[in-house]
Amino acid sequence: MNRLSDEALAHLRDVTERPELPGDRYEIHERLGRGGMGTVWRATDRELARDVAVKVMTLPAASDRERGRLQREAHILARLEHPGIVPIHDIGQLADGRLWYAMKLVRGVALDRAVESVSALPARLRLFLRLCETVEFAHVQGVIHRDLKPANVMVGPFGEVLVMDWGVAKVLGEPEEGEPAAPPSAGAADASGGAATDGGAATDSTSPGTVLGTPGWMAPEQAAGRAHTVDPRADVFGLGRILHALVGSEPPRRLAAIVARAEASRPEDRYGTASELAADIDRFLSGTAVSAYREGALEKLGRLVERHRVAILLLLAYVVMRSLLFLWGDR
Amino acid sequence: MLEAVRATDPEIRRRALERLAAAYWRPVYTYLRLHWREPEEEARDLAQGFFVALIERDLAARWDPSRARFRTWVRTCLDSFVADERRAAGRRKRGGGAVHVPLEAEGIEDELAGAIAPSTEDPDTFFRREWIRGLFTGSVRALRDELRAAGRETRLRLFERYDLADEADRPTYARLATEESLDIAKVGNELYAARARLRALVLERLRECTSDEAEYRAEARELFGTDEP
Ligand SMILES: Nc1ncnc2c1ncn2[C@@H]1O[C@H](COP(=O)(O)OP(=O)(O)OP(=O)(O)O)[C@@H](O)[C@H]1O
Repeated sequence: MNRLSDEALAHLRDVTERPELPGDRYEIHERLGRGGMGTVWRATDRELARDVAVKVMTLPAASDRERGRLQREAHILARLEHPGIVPIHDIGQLADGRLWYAMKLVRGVALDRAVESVSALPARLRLFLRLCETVEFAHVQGVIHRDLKPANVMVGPFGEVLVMDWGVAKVLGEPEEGEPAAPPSAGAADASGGAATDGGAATDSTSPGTVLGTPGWMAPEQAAGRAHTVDPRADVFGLGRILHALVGSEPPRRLAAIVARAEASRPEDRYGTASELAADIDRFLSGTAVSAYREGALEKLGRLVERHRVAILLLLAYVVMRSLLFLWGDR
Repeated sequence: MLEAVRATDPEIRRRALERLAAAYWRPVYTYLRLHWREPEEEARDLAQGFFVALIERDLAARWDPSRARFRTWVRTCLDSFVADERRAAGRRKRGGGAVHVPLEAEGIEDELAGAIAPSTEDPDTFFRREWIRGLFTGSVRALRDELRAAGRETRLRLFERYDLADEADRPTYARLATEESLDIAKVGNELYAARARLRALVLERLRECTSDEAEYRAEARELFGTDEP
């Protein structure tokens, strides 16, 4: 036998990964990307004549726990019906045991790339507001994303904002792998503000698998290995980091204050919810006072002048006209 | 597998060593020939000595899973082994102890004919690619034997004509269908069955040459697909 050429080897590596979904329904095309759990492919759903994205695990699950991860992600997607979250269409298992699911194909780019062509601050902030809405929706449904970062946010061609990758999300009230099965003990958990965490005594467990998320983007309490006990404010932190990246190096002071509050290291110093954060951004955009910033009298005047510029100009014009008329009439 | 390599019972250790050698001899030998540019005879000798040294000098016990994959660690050991051996005046007779590693180097020289190591590539990338090539080569062989034994000559022919060909020589499914008097869907199914089996064989081999479940899964993630070297 001849030595497998580099080309033949590359081909074999490709075709041995390419999934064959049971039945004739899906035709697999090219790889869209890879993640920690598996590979995402573009595919055609022949029955509904549309393109979809199919995520396939790299290997058959070695344990129920692993099987659980992809299934859990699928269930979370199914539960979170919202325009900001990709709908899931189908789920199954390949002949060799690999799990897969089909979801809406997102034709967009990650947030960091998307904003390269959006330089105006208000436009960026409006994208960010849409992101906040989606995260708030998930929180209300009892789901915390835990891995918010620009790479996990896609912006579609019509400016739609989609939150991707719910693989490490936490469903409040559901036990997790490795979670200490301690009974809820009053006062042990950090109970200030936000939704209740699932009871638990906050142990500082740092056993492998406890730290989920991405360094640099995840909240300090999550990085410290307390991923089980995080509450929606961990996502507020992630949103804060994203906002930080969006506003550039020299944002207006009131906006900088919003960023600082959102990405405060202590959860209790942050906004309690994504919608509180969004409300402050809204206020900033409309020129009213933001809750994160106490302004001086002069600043307030400046902001009011800025906000009511048109009215003030009209008023001034009126006064000038009246004066002129008055002077004329006097002659 | 590495647990057995460290076993105190010499018989268990010997068997573990054989398995280790079976999984790694191809990349090790190729690496010696192409990267270190050792002549045939010396490469064979060195490979043999290397696997023996892995056991006798208890090298395997020194591997630290938190610092490197087993594959990378093997390559690093091999580098220092070669450097040591070259320094030593003349080559001692190796493999004289209780352990003998059967290296089925048969045919590998034909495979290597004409292959050259790209000089710009870093050793780890090179070793890794040869290691992957070794996994697939061995698996393709096993697949071929299996298909022959099962009398599935058509499947084997389709697989060889399509999946082992270089891009430029690869026929279309339609062409294969005509040649084999099959319908196109059947060509697809046969190829798919061959690939699925190949994948399983590759994974079996991968398990043999990784140390634990975590490493097995990490390597598997990088094994399939064409994104990286
Ligand atoms: N619905 C989709 N439509 C289009 N492309 C997608 C879709 N889902 C995922 N992708 C692409 O596939 C890539 C891999 O996605 P995946 O969710 O597996 O991994 P990830 O986001 O890198 O996360 P992780 O490694 O944490 O699982 C993404 O980066 C994205 O480019």
